Amino acid sequence: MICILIRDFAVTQERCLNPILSTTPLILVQAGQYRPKVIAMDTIARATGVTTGMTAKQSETLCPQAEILYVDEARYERMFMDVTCQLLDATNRIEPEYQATSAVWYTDDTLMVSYLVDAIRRVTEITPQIGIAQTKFPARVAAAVALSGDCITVPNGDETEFLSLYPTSLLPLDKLMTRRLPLLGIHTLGQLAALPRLSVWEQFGKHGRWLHDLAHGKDVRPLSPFKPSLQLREAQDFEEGIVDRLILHNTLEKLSLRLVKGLDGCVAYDITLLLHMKDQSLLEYHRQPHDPIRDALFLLRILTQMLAALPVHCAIQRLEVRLDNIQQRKPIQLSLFEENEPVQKLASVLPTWAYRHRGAQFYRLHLTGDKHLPERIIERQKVVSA
Amino acid sequence: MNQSSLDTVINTIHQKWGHRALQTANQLSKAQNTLTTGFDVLDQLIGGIPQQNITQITDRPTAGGMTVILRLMANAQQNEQHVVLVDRGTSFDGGYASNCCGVDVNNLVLVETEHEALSLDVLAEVVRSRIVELVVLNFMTVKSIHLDWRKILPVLWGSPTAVVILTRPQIVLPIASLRLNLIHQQWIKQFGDIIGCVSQVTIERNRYGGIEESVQLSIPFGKGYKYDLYPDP
Repeated sequence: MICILIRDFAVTQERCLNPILSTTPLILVQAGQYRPKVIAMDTIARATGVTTGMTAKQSETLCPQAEILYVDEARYERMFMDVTCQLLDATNRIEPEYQATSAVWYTDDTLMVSYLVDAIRRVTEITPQIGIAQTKFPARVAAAVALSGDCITVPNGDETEFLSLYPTSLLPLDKLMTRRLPLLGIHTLGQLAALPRLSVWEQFGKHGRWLHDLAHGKDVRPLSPFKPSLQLREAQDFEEGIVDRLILHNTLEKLSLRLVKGLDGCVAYDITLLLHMKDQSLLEYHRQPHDPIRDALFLLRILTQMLAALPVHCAIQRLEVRLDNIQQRKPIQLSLFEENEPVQKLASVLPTWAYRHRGAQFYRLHLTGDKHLPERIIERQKVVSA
Repeated sequence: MNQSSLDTVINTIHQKWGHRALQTANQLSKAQNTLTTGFDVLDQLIGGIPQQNITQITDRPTAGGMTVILRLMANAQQNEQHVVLVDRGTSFDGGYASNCCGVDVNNLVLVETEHEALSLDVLAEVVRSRIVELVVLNFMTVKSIHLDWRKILPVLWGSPTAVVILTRPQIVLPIASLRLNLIHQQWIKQFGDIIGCVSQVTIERNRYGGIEESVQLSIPFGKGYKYDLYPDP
């Protein structure tokens, strides 16, 4: 298994969009929070002691010269998927994984690795780190600890020894284990691996048992190749740049007609409007309308609303509209008289809500029998989006 | 036009365009459905929390606003109604809600949002589904709210949902049909331990009744949080 990783993907993307930031330290913080917390930072800011999870104020104190920006997760994820779609030209044995502002691709196609690295470098202007191992987790750790442009290979059978020195924070720990492992004096993967498997199972349950296996380098997760969803995009370039709203509206009308023609009887659930401005900046608006897009008039109305909501500060050089999440139109039972609303259950609509409002966290709660620890009374189960 | 010919015209319209195409005014003015709060004194004062409307409850910490809301949620769940809690401050205490207020957390959906605008979007989505009878928004951590509440009104009308918003006293939501203000009066003590509080509830706005009426409300904190968490050895 080969893991290709770009650390600080979000930071580098911000720098690509705004080249002025290339020399200044950069810190990305949560958007819309009263006390925003640090999500990502560049190497200069990291060297001054800035870490993820600290407040923006704390990071500013540690690194006063840093530029602090709000994260735009949707944009980084879209850029990540764009890169992934370009990599699919080389091989279809790719599994992308977007992890909190860093970009990871797994592949088992050893012949195409050099091509993939070149392609990533060409598109993102960043040299990725590579980790090679028999399974996913050791490869991921190897890539994470490698320097930019380096490749670390973990020999088969040496996974436990290789992983033993690295901290447990590299594991996908849940809240309970994050709190309890340091209390038990377990700080490295080697210390966790040294524990008896049955004891870990008894203490931390199935999840703990799986993490114990990971600490030993045993990762049974197979590579699940990425299948891109159907996407439609239409764009219009303006060489001189344009600010006239009437012309923009007419352009949107043309693009809407072309996109709806391209839908060919299907419906789209996601719309993205991208405005490439004359000063090289990019304005982006993503929406998931309540009703799926199936006609040009409806699409035009939404696009007009989106355009009006964007803070257009200079001339637009390129107008791009994307339709994602395209699906076959679902049949509807027509009723001439009564509007019989379909009976829905809350559990069945929750994944759809979670998908439509991805900024919000939807939880189902479960009462556990254990009353000794406050965090154990209620177990939160995150609703997986549809 | 006599009654029979009017009925004929109405029947024709119903057959041609459906039963919702034409309705008489008395069909629209249905009795106001309400949810009981679990506090008899409060229910007598306000007649329950109205559905299809927004109720604002304002209080300062320790005035018992969250406990009143948790009791309301528990009551709604006992009547087999669906409840969604949208928590802006990520401060929901499941142990207290379950052990002391009787909330059935297994049937509770918790939504944590990062900002108020997203909470409003989620609220509109939940109300539009017409599945949920009670939606509670906890905005206690928010200092000021600047939202376009008008988009909620069309979806709220005709839905079975009662929306309850908990805010600080300085926040005034003009869209609220009912606004209750809780002011802490005194603690209820038993053997030196605080087991509840007495708060004065004042109606500051009421679309369906009188205002400026107030009542003293005894809000017990269940059996006591600490005793439930750490049982005696």
